Amino acid sequence: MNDSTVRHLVAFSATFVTLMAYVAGYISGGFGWWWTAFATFIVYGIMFRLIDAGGHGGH
Amino acid sequence: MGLGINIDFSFWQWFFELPPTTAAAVVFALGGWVFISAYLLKSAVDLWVGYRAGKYTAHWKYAVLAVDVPPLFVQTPKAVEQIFAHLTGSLIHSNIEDKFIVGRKQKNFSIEIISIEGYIQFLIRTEVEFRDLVEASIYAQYPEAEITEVEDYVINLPDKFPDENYDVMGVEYKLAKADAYPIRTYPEFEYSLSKDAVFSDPMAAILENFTRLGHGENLWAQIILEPVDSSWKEKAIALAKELMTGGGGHGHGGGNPVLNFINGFLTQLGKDVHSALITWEFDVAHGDDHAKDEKVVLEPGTKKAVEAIEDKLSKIGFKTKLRVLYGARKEVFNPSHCLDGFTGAMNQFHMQNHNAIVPAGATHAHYDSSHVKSNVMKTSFMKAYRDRKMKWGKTDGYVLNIEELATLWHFPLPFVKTPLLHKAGAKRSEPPSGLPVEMMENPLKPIGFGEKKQHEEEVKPPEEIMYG
Repeated sequence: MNDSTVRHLVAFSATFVTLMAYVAGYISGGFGWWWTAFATFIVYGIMFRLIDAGGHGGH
Repeated sequence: MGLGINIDFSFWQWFFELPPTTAAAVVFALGGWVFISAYLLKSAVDLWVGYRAGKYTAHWKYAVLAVDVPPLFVQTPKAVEQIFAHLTGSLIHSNIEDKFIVGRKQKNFSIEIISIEGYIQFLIRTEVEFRDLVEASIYAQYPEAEITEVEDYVINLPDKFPDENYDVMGVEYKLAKADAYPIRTYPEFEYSLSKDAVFSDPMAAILENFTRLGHGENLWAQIILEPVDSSWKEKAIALAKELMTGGGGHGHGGGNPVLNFINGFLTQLGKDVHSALITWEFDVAHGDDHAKDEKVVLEPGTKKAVEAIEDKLSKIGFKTKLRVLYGARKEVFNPSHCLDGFTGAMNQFHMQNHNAIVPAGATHAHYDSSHVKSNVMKTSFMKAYRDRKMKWGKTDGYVLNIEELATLWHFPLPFVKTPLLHKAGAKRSEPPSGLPVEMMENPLKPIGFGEKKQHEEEVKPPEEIMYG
């Protein structure tokens, strides 16, 4: 896999997640939008967990 | 007056009456998109980290060092344990910038035993930056050892399969239980028939498989070592605590974390329901007080397991992967006459209530009469072996401490008869002290002065490394 493909895939993933959040909010409608907003915080938590360099201790 | 429970199923009734597409849209909107997002984001982060690491590691150069020790040099595996402890000096601590922007990656080592047509050699493969570290660690324990840089032997076998002349079979090994449980280690191979303790060297059984090769046959074994921080110990401590409180310790056995969570949740729910039905104790507060007063009596096996986990924790660990590859010309290809024995030799390290080294996968696909899938597996296995990759397929590394590693890989003691094992020929010793020496020139020469070694010409200057 070359560099350009990797960058396209990463960019596509981020864009697709944003699109899914929009569609989920659209389906939920005016009364259920808060559920999508709540789920967005879960995505935040997932992303926070994923961006971890490790190395929290010595030997 | 009793308490009534009212369960409203109207939502589910409405949900199951929906058309399938609408029901799918509802599931998506109510949280399904979060699961898809989690998968996508995880894949994207892995891709990005791999991409950056690939850039960072592109200029790495490796050296394969053949290590020979004198035939009558008596050192226990404790010396090799010290070598491994020495190698942990290469541990780096990366921060977010290092990992996601710079792509900095921990350099690993590979300790290997190979047999080419019965000629056995102990090898260590290292990135050239740590060559001095490796040599210093060996000479510190084996002052008379001979270390020679050799060509990487992996080019002796083809890297793509099917091949016209050669065939291969590879096996990867894993721990049977969670990393925290230790395998049987070298102190447990000592026994005494008389007043002196005798060491039954487990390397004898391992090396025996390497001596059985004939013309055109190769048997290569590698243990990849990656220094890790102490985060594995936190999981081990949690497991020990769980065992001490009467838990089964199933939640730390690796595998799928989602399934582990569901399993733990259902197990706890079952226990609570069972407790409520049998004892009629619905009052949670009283239940907690009762648990505090109750003293958990550990079964003898559990007690030994907890002690063993604590012993393992007391030493430094490496993320590790053991794999073995048999390759031979097709006319003499017979993997079972040494791979079966190698797997059998791994059973020496099995102990009840402790851990065991068991096969995790092999380059043999089931229901594959055309051998297409098997050949794909062989090619990918050979690539993993050549590149000394920790991962192959779905199998990742596991933590072994330096005592376990020294048990698996150490120079055999003099009584182990392996005629074709290469050993250092002559006895070497230090020169007499006080010999007159010439005044040395300043070793710090400007760049471009004199000739450089081969590796120095190609390697970029090392970047700043954070030592912990």
